[in-house]
Amino acid sequence: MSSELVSSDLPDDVAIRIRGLSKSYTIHGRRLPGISLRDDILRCISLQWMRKAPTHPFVALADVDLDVRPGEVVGILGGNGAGKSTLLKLLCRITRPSTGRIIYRGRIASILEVGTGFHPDLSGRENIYLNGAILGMRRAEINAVFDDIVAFAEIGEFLDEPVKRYSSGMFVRLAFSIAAHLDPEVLVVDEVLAVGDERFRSKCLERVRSHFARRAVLFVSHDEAMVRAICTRAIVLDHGRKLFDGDVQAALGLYHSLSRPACASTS
Amino acid sequence: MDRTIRILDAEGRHPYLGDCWRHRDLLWFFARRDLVVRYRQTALGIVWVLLRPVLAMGVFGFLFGTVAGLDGRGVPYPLLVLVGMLPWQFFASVLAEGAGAVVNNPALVTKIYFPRMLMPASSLILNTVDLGVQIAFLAAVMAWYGIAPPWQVVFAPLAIVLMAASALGAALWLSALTVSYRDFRALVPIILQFGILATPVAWTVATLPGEWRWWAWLNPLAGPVEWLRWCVLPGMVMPGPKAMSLSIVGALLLLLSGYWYFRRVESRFADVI
Repeated sequence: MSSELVSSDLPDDVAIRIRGLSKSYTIHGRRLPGISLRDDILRCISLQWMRKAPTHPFVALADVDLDVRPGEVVGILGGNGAGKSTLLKLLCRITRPSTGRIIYRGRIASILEVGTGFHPDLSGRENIYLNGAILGMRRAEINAVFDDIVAFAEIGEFLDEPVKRYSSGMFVRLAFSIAAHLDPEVLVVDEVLAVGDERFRSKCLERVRSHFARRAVLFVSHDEAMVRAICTRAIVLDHGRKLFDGDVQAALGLYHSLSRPACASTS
Repeated sequence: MDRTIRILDAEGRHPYLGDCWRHRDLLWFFARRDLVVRYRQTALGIVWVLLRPVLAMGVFGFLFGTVAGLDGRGVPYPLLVLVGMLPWQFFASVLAEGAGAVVNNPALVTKIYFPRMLMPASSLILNTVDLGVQIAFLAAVMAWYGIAPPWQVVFAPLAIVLMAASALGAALWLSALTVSYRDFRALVPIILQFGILATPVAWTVATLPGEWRWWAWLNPLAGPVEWLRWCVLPGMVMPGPKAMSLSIVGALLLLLSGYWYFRRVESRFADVI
């Protein structure tokens, strides 16, 4: 329990510490449990539950260790199914670890998918409050940064229009702007910086660099240029395991050799 | 800056109610979202809050009062129906909106963490506002009939609290069950269809023959509805202590078991939805 923790578990210069983190899902041979009530009732009646159903544990993430210090932007690289999304979901408390633990100080916030929780019928102003609260901000915190959010998003007189009337550019600008004004100790960013036009993208990058300079950031992206531009360190995941932790350039090299084994062997 | 050290592991021992408290603003924003969405681009807007009970009052009043000739026990029969209709409407709306609150927002469940219980719970807030408007309307109707409430009107909030507890408990059960079993989505309209007849909305327990009354009291909503009638209208029969304790125990059981079940399956929502 959080109150029982002593500070030695998490040194002052570490923002988030991951130890032995694993997540496995149980795959039932036939189907996932709880898809149909009728099936579950039939299964009970036919006493199938007395026989042990064949299950294969699927390991999505296996025994991952990671320390991130304030000020670091750690890139998380890996192909499809490498365990990136699982790691993010665990960090964001969407699912629980099977074993291992994540220790952190303060708050973890995520910029996962831009605009999650936006309601098309609500105005920009109403969505700022709703989305800010969903992302974990208190009303007072939103009030304090409200004008900055509006200014950064450049939505001007559309503030009180329903967001369904927004252009897609305005929509993502507003959504990113809300997330960019969060003030968590640990920030998780997933592929969302690819928003808006070129100018707004560089503005977003600049925002991440400056605003989160003293925060710990975990950054997932397939965009190599983006990773090179903002990450100070990178890890490579493959089949749920951490293969590499360190220099961004070396990590990108390893990531490429994994995703294109044929090319790697000839070069 | 928040310096609290937190830990995430397989047991997930975060203090849950503390988490709900930290996210309490979300309750209001969800409720406001639903309020705005319900009435934006509607011509009649907030009038809909009154239209539903008034229509029911007209239909039931005509059917039971005029056609079947049921007795209003000293008050106009439509008024008897209106007082029964308000708590029922409250229960039905909380149940219907709360039951769908989780499944209708899959993106929120799979992308962001917050205590999921806030989703069904927010329907309680919005419908309490509706109920307030309806109570003001009831007061106007009573004034128009020239009927003053008796002194026990001060105990009326007990009925609302009991209704809220039952409604939230049922909404927690149904919203959690619907995540795994979509069958329960089809069950909600059925519950509401039969519930309005099984609850003393258009009739009173006192008009039933003696041996049937206990069956009526077994419905946990019967106690609060009849309690509200006794509090608001003159000349009504007060529900006895046995009937009321049955309702109180029923509401508490529904609420606590709903909380327990929701908590038990909540951590699997994102994997199952």
